[in-house]
Amino acid sequence: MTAHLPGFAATNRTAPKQGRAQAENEDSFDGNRTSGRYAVADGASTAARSEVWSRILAEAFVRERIDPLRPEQLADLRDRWWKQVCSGSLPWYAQTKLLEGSAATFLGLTVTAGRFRAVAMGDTCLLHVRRGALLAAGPLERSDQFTRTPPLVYTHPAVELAEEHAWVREGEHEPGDAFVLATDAVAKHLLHRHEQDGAVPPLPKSDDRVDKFLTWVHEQRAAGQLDNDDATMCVIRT
Amino acid sequence: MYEAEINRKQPACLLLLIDQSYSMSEQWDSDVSKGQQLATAVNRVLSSAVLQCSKGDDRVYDYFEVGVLGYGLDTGPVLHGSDASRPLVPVSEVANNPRRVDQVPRKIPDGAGGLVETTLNMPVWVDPLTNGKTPMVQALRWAEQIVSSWCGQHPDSFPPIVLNLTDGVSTDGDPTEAGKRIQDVATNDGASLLFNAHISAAQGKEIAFPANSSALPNEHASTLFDISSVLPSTMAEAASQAGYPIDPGARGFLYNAHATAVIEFLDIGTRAATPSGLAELTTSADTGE
Repeated sequence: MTAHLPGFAATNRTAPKQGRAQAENEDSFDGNRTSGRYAVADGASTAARSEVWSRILAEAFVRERIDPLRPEQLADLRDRWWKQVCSGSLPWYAQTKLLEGSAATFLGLTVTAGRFRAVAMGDTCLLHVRRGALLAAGPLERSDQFTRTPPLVYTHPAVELAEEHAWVREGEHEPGDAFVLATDAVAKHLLHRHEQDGAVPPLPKSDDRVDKFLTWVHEQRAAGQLDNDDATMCVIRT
Repeated sequence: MYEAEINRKQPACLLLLIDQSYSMSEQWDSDVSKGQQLATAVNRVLSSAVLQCSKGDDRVYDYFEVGVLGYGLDTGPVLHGSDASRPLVPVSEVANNPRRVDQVPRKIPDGAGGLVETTLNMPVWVDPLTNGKTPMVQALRWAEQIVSSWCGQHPDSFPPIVLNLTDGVSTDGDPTEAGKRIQDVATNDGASLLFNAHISAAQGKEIAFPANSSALPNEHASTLFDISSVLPSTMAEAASQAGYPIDPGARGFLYNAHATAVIEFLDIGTRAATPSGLAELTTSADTGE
């Protein structure tokens, strides 16, 4: 007899860099409460078509149960990126830029009854929160660990997957726990607030208006508390 | 200072001054003329600038404005679409208006440990031109007018970066005052940066990013040193990472430079003009912006 797996709804909020349109946001999120799979990827802003690469990574993890951090599965995703971005005639600079390839950080989370498993590469982080307290965070655990050169998942076939930087965590969860998947600017902010206040700030709720998150991002940036980067926060409550 | 974020609302300014005097026809490294080597280096820098603003499709974000002034028999803007009334053009115009795009065969890694031959695009905006004397003062004065006007329009931007590339001695007077006047022009983020690269076919000792003039061989070198700006800390860090010994107060100055050093000099001197400013000096694949 198969146990019934409850679904866990995800509340996803995202904002582009200040002065940019949402269409220019290079973060991607995907999630499926039935399968309990959720993913966030952050496309490198200086790389080619990184919004396409981050979307491919997130969707493949959630919809096809592909783990981008397994080399044998990554190769196929790299081919998909190349086929998607090379359509039609392109100017010289686009052709040259595409030859350099793309890159993104990646975090995938699988939540089942009572258990979770996360895989990640880079500084898109998972925070496990219980009753407002931070139980664990990773791949980065402190706000001072964020750098400008996080490990990335690259499209270029000549760049091997840095498996030594792959981060994997498994554990248990309780009803009422929250998992936060956050790209670097938001993750750094949340960890810093926790270091300062001993608590994680209030997280977005499913019935919150989207505008509330955008206002929060604007205020935090204006106060110098949030880096001007694409900002994505996905909250899964168990 | 020198920390302003570079974005489309707040672009940066990159102005190259290229010596096109007759002496640039002399051979430099690798049996190629100084003019040809310099044109290749400048084209490479412009290509790099475009690629930093490209997203890999038909989008090129105008993170900065670019100008190239040639000085020799004639002095003036040389980029397509630029002229005396419009010496700077947005980088998207640079991207879409090279004189031509050469196709160069290259071998690149195939991902399986081997190499595969492919064709790379080599856009050309500047061809070598070698005629006349070296009116450096005229070029610097023109540059001062350009950056002065630009700073007035972009008071919060990263300050203009002016790169002067020459092989000789100014033939229209002492460039000191004209150079200093460029450095007097500022935005709220700092004074304009004037960097000078003196290239030479001679076997003299190459001097890179000196912090003082004690090792310089002559008055001409000291003059160029005097009008070269101190490297902002992040550029100094980039120069250090490129392998140059950098002392406090190191200036953006090369003397008796060979081709490799000039290419690295241009790279270090222009890497501030990246989409997110100095923060990205040390990486080309960063997730932040």
